[in-house]
Amino acid sequence: MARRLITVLLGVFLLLSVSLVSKAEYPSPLGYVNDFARVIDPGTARQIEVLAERLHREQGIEIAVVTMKTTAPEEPSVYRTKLFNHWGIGGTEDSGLLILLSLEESEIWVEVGYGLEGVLPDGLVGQVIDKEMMESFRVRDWSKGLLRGVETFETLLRDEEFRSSYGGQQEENRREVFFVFVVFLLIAVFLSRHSRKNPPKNPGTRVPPVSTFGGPRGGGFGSGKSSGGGFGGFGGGKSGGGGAGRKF
Amino acid sequence: MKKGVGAILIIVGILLVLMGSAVSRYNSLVTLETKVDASWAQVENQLQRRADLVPNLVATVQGYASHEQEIFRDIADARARLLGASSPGAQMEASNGLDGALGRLLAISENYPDLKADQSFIRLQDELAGTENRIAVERMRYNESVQVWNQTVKQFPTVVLASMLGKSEKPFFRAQEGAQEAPKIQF
Repeated sequence: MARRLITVLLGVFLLLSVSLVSKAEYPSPLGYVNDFARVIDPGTARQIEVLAERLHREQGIEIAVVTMKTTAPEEPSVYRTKLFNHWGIGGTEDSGLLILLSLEESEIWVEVGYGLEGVLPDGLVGQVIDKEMMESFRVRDWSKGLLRGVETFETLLRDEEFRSSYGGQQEENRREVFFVFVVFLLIAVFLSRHSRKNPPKNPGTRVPPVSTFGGPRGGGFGSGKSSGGGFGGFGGGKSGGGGAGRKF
Repeated sequence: MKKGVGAILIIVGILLVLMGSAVSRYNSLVTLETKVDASWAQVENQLQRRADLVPNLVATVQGYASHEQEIFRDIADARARLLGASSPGAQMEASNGLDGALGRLLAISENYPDLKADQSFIRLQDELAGTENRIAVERMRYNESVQVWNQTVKQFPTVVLASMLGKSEKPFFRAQEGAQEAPKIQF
């Protein structure tokens, strides 16, 4: 009798100590989307998962989206690298991306694994955050911001042309096209003014506005079902602390 | 006669054990020192990366704030000191100096809204912030390896072997007071 009691007590003690130890610092990954702060709506979460699965399937890149109320007691700047390396996002090629949203610190940070540093330099990452995510975050639309961010990263990683035309380059293209459009408009006006003798010319020489607003934006989400059951974990990739972020 | 042989055997045995222990301690010292050197090499990589960013950054700021001569001179000096530093200790000091100068440069940039809105400036700031993070990570890993080294080299009896080899504690890479965090961009 006494022995059984002791065994039970020991078991309870062990369970308690184990749970104390594993409570230490980092949660376990739930999947590509880890919405610990519970701010992403289910539909968006599924869309992000589909994109992440595609990225993994087609390019072997692992994206982890993580939302947290706070990273305390650690600073986000310390926490994100530790979390990245603890989860090992990115596999043997170190091709991993961690998008961390910490609400109390009002910070969004995208951490880039060693393997992706060449393709996604810090400056480009900052641009993606500025253009695709900040607007939504300023009005606290976390789902939309995160989804747009993931969509853009997915396209950037997949489409080299999109990657080289993203950002500043794009602005110039748009300006050039606008300028050309205006010139043709003026010519058309000029011609129509001086064409009283001739039959009115159809100013069909106007250049249709070319859309250079970047290539495909991750369209075609497909009907992939998220695999139920447990998440197998990430592949063991490493990051050195690179990436970019913003406070909002 | 037997007693003599026995005593000699015991002494030889003890000597062999001591030698074996010395050899294994020596090997762990070698391993640990190699680790420290390797992690310092990583720190140097990132320090170099940051040093490489500086000219671009300065040129961009000069485009908008050309008369702020003093800070440009300070940065050029700090960078030269870093590139000329020959020992880890000197590199650490120079790096902290460059940290301070860069912090001041970014503070000055706050007064120039056109500069702040410049796309290439924003990109360079991101690159700089990312590199500062990388430096912080490598510095942390370096300090961890130094801690293990320092503990090993001070404990008895390894300390005896270490002092025979001329090995002693190595310096931690401490950040400058007040310059702990990478310069952040706020909107």
